[in-house]
Amino acid sequence: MAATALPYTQLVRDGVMYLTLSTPDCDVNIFNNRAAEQLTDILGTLDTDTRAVVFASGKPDSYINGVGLLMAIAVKSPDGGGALTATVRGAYHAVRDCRVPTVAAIAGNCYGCGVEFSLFCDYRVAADTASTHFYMTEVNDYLFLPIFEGTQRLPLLLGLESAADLLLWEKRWTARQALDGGLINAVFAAETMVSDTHAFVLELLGCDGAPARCKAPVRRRDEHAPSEERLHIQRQRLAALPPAFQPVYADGLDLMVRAVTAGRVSEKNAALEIERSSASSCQQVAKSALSFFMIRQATHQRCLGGVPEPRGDVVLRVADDGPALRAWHATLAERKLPGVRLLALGASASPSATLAADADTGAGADVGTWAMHFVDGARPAEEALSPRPAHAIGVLLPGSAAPLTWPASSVLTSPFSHDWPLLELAVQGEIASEHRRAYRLLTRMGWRVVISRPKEHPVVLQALIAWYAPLVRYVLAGGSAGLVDGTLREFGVVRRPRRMLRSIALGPLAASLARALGSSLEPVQQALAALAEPGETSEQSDDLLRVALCVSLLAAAERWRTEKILSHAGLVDLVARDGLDFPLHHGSLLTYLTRARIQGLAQHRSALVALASSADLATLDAAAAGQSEVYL
Amino acid sequence: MQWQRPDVEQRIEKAILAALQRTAKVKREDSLVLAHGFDSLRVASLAIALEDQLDRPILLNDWIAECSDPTALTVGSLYDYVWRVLSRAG
Repeated sequence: MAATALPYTQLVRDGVMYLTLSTPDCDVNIFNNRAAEQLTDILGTLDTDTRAVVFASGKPDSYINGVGLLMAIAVKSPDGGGALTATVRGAYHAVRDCRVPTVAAIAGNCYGCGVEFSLFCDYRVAADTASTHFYMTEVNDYLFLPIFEGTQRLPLLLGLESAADLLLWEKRWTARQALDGGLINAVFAAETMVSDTHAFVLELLGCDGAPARCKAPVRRRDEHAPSEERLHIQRQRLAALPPAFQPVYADGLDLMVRAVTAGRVSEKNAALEIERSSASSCQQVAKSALSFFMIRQATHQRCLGGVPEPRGDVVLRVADDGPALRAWHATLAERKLPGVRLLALGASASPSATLAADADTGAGADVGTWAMHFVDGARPAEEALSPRPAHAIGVLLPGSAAPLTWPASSVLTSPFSHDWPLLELAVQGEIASEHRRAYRLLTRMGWRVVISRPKEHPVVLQALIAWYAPLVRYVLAGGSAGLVDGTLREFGVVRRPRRMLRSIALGPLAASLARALGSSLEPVQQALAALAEPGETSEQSDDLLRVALCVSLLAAAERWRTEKILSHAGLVDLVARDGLDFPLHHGSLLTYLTRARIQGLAQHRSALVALASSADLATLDAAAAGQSEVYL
Repeated sequence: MQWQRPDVEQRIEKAILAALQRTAKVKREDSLVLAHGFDSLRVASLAIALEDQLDRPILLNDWIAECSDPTALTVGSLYDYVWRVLSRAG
């Protein structure tokens, strides 16, 4: 039985047609063939009274998350992508060729093909909310090139550097950053998004009702070919990437340069983009990277566990004693979401907020006031928790390597920094619906979250120790930090120590590593300092170091799985990918660690003694003798 | 575990219905994309439902990659794919 609900709904107000996308039976919007066909039909039959078209979203946190990665996975030849994406491309061109002004009214995630969709509109406006982000997923997450003129329209609109930041260098823009960067024309508060967008459209239509068209590109910073100096900077960054990544990045950069040089979207360059996008989708590195998307999505759904969206307001209370906690409060405040109120611990909610929370609790949705309070080993006094929260979450702020003390049933922790995208929600005992709701809220606020059940130390800290222990051992044994950098680069790591260690509180990491290695603190500190400043990256790679790193990760992963610290294989993979930057083109840690590969690692066993602990080697022995792989 | 093909197909059908949140039957020749509106996120739901049925996490990327076009992802092709990976895993 085919799904019958249509993706788009229509509403006309003052001659402005609002087309709201809401992908049926899905948390996020996917601009699939069904949406494309409906949109093409609607735009092809606009009546003469329609003066403008606004494209909005019916999902709270998603504008357009993609056009469906099934297509990308299915591409098998360099000429295959064009045919598979023809329907969607037709819809995008219908937007481009629409006879009246078009406006993308963006609220929620605008990813990849969503950004490209918006670039076919005459104007873009966005809501100032935590879930409104602009991010090009194609190269950054999947190692293939965009296919809907993103490599052409972005540099023409933003200039080469900003476009490269988005397309190649993992920049993720908020609505405000998108405005500053020239990607959008206006930012509106979430509460007034609808009315402000309408006023914006009426204003652009002008007093006499004449349509004010603003055909892209609306702004060009590079009037001529980009300077050699700018290109040199881009090429230097490209050369620092793992070798396996470089072809797709080089092709992407070349397409952007062609766009800026041409000064317009030419048919020839658009066709070249399709060809190169298809070719890049066929590469094994892209297929492996795409496989991680499935692991991420399945794990996300596992963590949500079917717990529904909270109804009514959610009130977060954060104590404000001490600079660290105030920083946490400020971070939460920056990630504001509609329906989420942020208050000081102990402060009274406004009557409406309290009523909304209480009413929900009474209705059985068991959503009430959530108190997130910073703890330093001791639970706050009961009176400090007044009004009593439905759910208290401890917050262990960055820089702490102390064992978990469980002042609440769950503790939010990150050993990195508030800016690091990965947070851990460590749970004592069984994972309950309240933890899943906290997970949902934090992911809506833009974090990547893993739910864990650690016994003593958070998993993210354990992961860091597993990652850095062999590297530090290698340096302590006289190995060169430059060779470590070269080895990691060859393996496929982008966020290598020289970059990662800038985001980590080094003191607690060094102390934890010294304990794990049975070493005194000073040499470990020196080794970390050398890894943070390795000088020239070696062109060489030490295979034994790569093997030692894999053995250390294998041992950590086995421990998390067998002790049920991480309840699902996908969580292990998320920790490795998001926390450690396990190479994207290897798919995931557990898919990489096949039985054959583990047996290959075991062949180096005798040489590993200097770089691996005896416990890790015992795990290697057991795994090499094992029978099956984690994933079917 | 020694799997039997009819039992595996029954479990797969249950998983598809769980991913669709429906109780109606599916047919072997049904395209999951055209007949049931599957997209990449729904495939992730299907992977979870299959894991619940088979007690092992399963990746479906290779199944998708085998097809010439996402519309060719049929119920029958999923039966065949899962049976193959189960047989290989032993």
